[in-house]
Amino acid sequence: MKNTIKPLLFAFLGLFAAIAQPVFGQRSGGSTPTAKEAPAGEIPRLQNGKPNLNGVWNHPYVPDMAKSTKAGGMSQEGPGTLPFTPAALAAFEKYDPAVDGDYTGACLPFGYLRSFNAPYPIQIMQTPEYIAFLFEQNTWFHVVPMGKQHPAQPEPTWFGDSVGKWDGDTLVIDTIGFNGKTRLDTLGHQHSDALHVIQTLKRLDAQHLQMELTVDDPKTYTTPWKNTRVFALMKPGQGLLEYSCEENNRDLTQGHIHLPAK
Amino acid sequence: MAVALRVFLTTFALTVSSGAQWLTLPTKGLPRTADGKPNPAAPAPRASDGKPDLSGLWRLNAGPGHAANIVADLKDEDVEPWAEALYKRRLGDLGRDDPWTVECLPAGPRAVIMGGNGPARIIQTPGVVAILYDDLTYRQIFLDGRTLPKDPNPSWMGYSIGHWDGDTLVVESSGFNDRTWLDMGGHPHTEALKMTERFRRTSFGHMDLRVTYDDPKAYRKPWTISFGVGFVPDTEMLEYVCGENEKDSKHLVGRTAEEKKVIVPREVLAKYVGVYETADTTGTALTASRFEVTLAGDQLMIAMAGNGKMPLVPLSQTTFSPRLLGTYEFVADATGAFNKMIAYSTEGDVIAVRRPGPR
Repeated sequence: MKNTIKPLLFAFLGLFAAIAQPVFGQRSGGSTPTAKEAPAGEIPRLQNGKPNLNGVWNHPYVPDMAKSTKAGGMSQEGPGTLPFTPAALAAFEKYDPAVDGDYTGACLPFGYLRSFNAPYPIQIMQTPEYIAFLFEQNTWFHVVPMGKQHPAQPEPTWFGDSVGKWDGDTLVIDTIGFNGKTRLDTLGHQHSDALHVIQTLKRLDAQHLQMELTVDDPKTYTTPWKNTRVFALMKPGQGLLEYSCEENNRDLTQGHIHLPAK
Repeated sequence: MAVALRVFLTTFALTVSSGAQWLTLPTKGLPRTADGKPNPAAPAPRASDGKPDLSGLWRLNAGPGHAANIVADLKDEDVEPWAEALYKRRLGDLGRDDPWTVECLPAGPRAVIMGGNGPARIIQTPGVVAILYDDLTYRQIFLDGRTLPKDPNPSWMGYSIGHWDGDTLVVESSGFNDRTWLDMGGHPHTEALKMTERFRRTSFGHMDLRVTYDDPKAYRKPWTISFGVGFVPDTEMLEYVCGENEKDSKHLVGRTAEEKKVIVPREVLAKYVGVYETADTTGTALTASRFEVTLAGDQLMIAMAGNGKMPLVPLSQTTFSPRLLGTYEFVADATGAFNKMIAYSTEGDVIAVRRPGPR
């Protein structure tokens, strides 16, 4: 299961994302009863009246958040070029994962945005108090408590500290408290520990979910910028598969993985 | 980070309020007494479908006894000889090749009795219940009527389905690979392993768990362990990244060649048997104050705070390791009587003296 040269391969995997989908037809299912689906155009809702985001979602693989792509019912739109500060641009142009090392090769967490940018499905679990994102990528997760405030001094973490609230039918998630050790995407667009992500999720219809990301990081980018994408609900019965990065990862255990210096 | 922190935190599991030292965040909707303290005796909440709602932060830990030795309640002859031999080898190596704590692989069935390193979060929705562990892995338990896969791709965390038996959530799991351990001591299992968990939330603050193991290729009969777990109020989970700054694994050599040669005669082991109570500490995370040392055949065992027996692996004639929770030395007084035991750990030492009385 472990793809030991994953960081380098990811750049190429984007091409295969569409081709790879039939493999996932083997996802567990078959014996699953058909989920109750809302009629097209209507948004399913929870008992509390909020849009129901529960489900396993297919979404665009985004190795490069600057670009725009479209595949099937899914699309994503980036700003074209990113408003780098001069120092950040110089650092980005110098970055070469083959030389500098990509932390994901050592099975370290992708971090918040890169987990959404990874090629594998995401399951959303929603209760009135919490939204949880279950990422197939490395079987990681992230929990968003609803209606809370950020702690005054959040512990710097790989996935950050999130708080969620409803603005009408739009879920707004605010995330800060990053450790600054991750990159935004496979291409290596960087961020600092000052990263602030504003994320909105809006169920467009029974089958589609739109996510808009605003990346605000004054240490890296001169102005906030956006990336918008559309997720598609997977078929009833299709679920997440298990993913272990460490499994049979001899490149890592035998010391062949080049770790970033810092 | 791989091993040291995990052992440290397991030690912490013995304390009640350790989580509060990390983060203090009031839990929304928590029933409280008049003085504002959490009220664990309040009734268990119900989900919108009328079923008990298990959602929340829980310390899903069976305690160090079963965590160290999951078959503590089985007879020796119920463990297949190959499984016993493999367990003994892993124990003798002090867990140096532990797939979870050393190789950073998924916990597998151990998640069920250890729940990660700190609190774990249960999120319950009508069709699926997820258990999120602080090592950033999760389990999904499907309640949508599906059946367990007949010929599954063996997986680390297994496949789980659940149903309600009255107010008890019954979870059946199978489809595990055979690479994980059932406990910290290293009891193995095969791909035939089936587990049944029964979750019953008896009050806001308490849940009873029963876990039945059935693996006829390794154990001659099924067995069940029972334990209670507590709701963890007014805090949040923190990330635990096993591979972060990992520098331990190359230093884990198990026992040295010299230590492997150590054989402590039964009559010497018998001198250590007794109940020891803490007399002094130099500052330690080990909060147990009562240690019961017993002998089972030629195997010295230790139980902490009534939490089940763990085998002690000899490192010398007087020094032993249960792998979990430090190293233990029995110290003779001027008359040659062993009335003192010192538990060494990174966080400080515990000096315990033998309680007078018959052995």
